[in-house]
Amino acid sequence: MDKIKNKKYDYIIVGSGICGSIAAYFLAKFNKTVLLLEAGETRDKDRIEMSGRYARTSRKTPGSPYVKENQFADSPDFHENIKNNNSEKNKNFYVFDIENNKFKNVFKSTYQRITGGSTWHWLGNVPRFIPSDFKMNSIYRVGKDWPITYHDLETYYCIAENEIGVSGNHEKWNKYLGAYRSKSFPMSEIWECYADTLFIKKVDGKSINGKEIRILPTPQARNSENYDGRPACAGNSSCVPICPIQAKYDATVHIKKALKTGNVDIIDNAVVNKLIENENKEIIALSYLTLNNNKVEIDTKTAKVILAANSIEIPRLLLNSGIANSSDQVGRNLMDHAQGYVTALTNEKIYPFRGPLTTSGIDAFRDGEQRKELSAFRISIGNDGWGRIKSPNAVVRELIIKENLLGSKLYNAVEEKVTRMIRMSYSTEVLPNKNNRVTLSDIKDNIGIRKPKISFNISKYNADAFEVAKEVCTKIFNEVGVSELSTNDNRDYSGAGHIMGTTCMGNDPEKSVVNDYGNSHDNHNLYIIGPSVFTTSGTANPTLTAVALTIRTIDHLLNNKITKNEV
Amino acid sequence: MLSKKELLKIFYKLSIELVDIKDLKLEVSNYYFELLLNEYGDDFISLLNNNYFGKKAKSTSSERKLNGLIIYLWYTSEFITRSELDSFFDVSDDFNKQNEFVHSSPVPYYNGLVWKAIRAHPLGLTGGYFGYWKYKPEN
Ligand SMILES: Cc1cc2nc3c(=O)[nH]c(=O)nc-3n(C[C@H](O)[C@H](O)[C@H](O)COP(=O)(O)OP(=O)(O)OC[C@H]3O[C@@H](n4cnc5c(N)ncnc54)[C@H](O)[C@@H]3O)c2cc1C
Ligand code: SF4
Repeated sequence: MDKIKNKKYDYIIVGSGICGSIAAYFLAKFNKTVLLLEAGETRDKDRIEMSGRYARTSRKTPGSPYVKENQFADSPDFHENIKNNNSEKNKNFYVFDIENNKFKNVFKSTYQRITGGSTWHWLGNVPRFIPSDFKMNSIYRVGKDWPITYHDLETYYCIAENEIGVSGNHEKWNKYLGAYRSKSFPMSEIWECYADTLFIKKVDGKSINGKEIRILPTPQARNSENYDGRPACAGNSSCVPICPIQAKYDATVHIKKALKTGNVDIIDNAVVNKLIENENKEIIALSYLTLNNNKVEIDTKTAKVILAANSIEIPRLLLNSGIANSSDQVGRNLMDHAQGYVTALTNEKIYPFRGPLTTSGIDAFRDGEQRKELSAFRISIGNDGWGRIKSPNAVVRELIIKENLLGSKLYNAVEEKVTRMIRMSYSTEVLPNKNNRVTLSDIKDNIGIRKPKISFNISKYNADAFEVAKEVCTKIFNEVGVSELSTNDNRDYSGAGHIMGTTCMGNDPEKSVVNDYGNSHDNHNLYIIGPSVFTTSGTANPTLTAVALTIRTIDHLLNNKITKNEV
Repeated sequence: MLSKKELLKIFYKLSIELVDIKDLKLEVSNYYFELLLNEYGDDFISLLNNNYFGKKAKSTSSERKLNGLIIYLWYTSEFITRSELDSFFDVSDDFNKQNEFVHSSPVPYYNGLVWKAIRAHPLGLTGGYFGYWKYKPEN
């Protein structure tokens, strides 16, 4: 440890999630030395044990495989599962700004603190943003324009898809919604599930609300063949919270690759709690807390510091340090995708819970003139019954306690119902809003760091889109042939786990935290990577775009060695 | 007084009767027996005794509840504790399991009847080869 502490590194990266680990890998590949500081514990040898825990536990949440007694660095994902947090103060991981919240669901999106970060439990859907997502203000007069365009990112999207291992259909996606692709996906698409084949038969090509409906195979960070030493997806259907065979990408892939270069050291169970700057606004040191509550300080004078700790923990660290915030924008413009659903029972049996949890989507509503008035949305077709709304277990319970069924009658009734359960979920774009923000609460967490306080409201822009999305889903379901249509109360929307914004990029140092390379406007040796730098949220799941931006930043730091492919 | 061996047998027989499936895993049955005995003690023993001595017709509401949660256990492997019982049987309530109960082995979950009934596989276990999900389950 002392050896590491006294060593001089070219880069110090805080956070070993997908962005931190891919950054570390590329820097190390091009002979830079890197220290990776990670708040969570390294557990990649525990995959089987963690998959087993998921099977053994009765509460199957995104955090359930990962629960450990005496977890050091708390996280919202882990917090949900621990029993000893019943006090009002500790009930939630986040402190919510309830007074200023109109909706029931303040902010429920979670993340993980573990070596490899939140991709352990992510679903792995990785569509790209589309060109108009980067120009919301100039095209639709809402939101903001990014300081870069789709074109600036396209090469990096291709590199990101290769690194992560994305399965997709090039022909169907190339130029769709204006998003050209200069390279094919590294693997062909994940086959659609049985329910999707029904949607393709009944609705593909039809016009609904003025749009041509195409049922498209969602690009996924899940192998459709052996790739990069990992097997093809075998349909374990537990992608959230854990893929037992690592057919789904998670960031431990790049941590291993980074360590193999010999240029990277990693310290886990290291919660970075402060950055220190000098009068020239240079980050000269940082400190982290260790398992036995020691505080360790690291000299960063000759290094560049890269924050990759996600869209809640990065502003938390910056605010706690009083760093990089001359714009007063740190923590502001917190974004997510606000989601709702429509559920139904199909007339034909569609046999869900076999294969990945969703394999196709409807992307036609991700763009168009309506974005001037209401949020664009992406629809995904579930392969998991009614998803979070009603589990198969809940159906069994209902049949037992309400219908008093047992024996073969119960068995047949369970089959009859669950094999027809289907959901469509819609994810709407949340625009940047300075009042949606992360600040610091006066309440401290288990290791004495001030908790993140969340203020978050969605606007009429989203609420109006919910109505249209419900109408579209209902029309699609009617084409498919269903009964028992049902939908959520708009106030009960959910988050998508897509936490974005809070250290947004922009050209103007007075209105943004970092420039288009993630370089802090205030501190020249400080960089930020991950979805926290997004200017707007689009409708695509964010991680592929975050990785493409990360590779662009690192390429810039390496004088374009990645794109020139000089090893 | 029935011996534990006899009670285990009665529980296995009762389980088969309640779910009407003949090939329940004996290992899981014995494990569930211990769980129920620990949590429901005399109520559980009395359910088994009454069952053995043919007093099923007169079963009480608490026995009916125990039967219900035994069925639920075989289907889902979710164990309902005493403190959750009322909420579990409350028809107006969307029961949400709050107590995190962790089994000592994954075998009960893998043998949950719900997966068999819906022609799927327990989430976390593979259903077969790449792409099987595109087709209807085989018979
Ligand atoms: C249930 C769920 C499903 C999702 N599905 C998808 C999907 O299908 N597609 C998609 O694109 N996105 C999805 N996401 C979002 C996705 O997981 C995130 O966008 C992505 O993982 C963010 O990567 P990151 O590297 O920026 O942050 P993270 O993966 O969160 O990594 C941050 C790392 O920093 C560490 N860290 C935090 N604080 C500190 C500190 N103070 N000191 C040191 N280290 C620290 C953490 O421990 C962690 O390892 C999903 C999220 C959830 C919750
Ligand atoms: S469906 Fe199963 S095998 Fe495929 S990625 Fe998900 S968890 Fe892994």
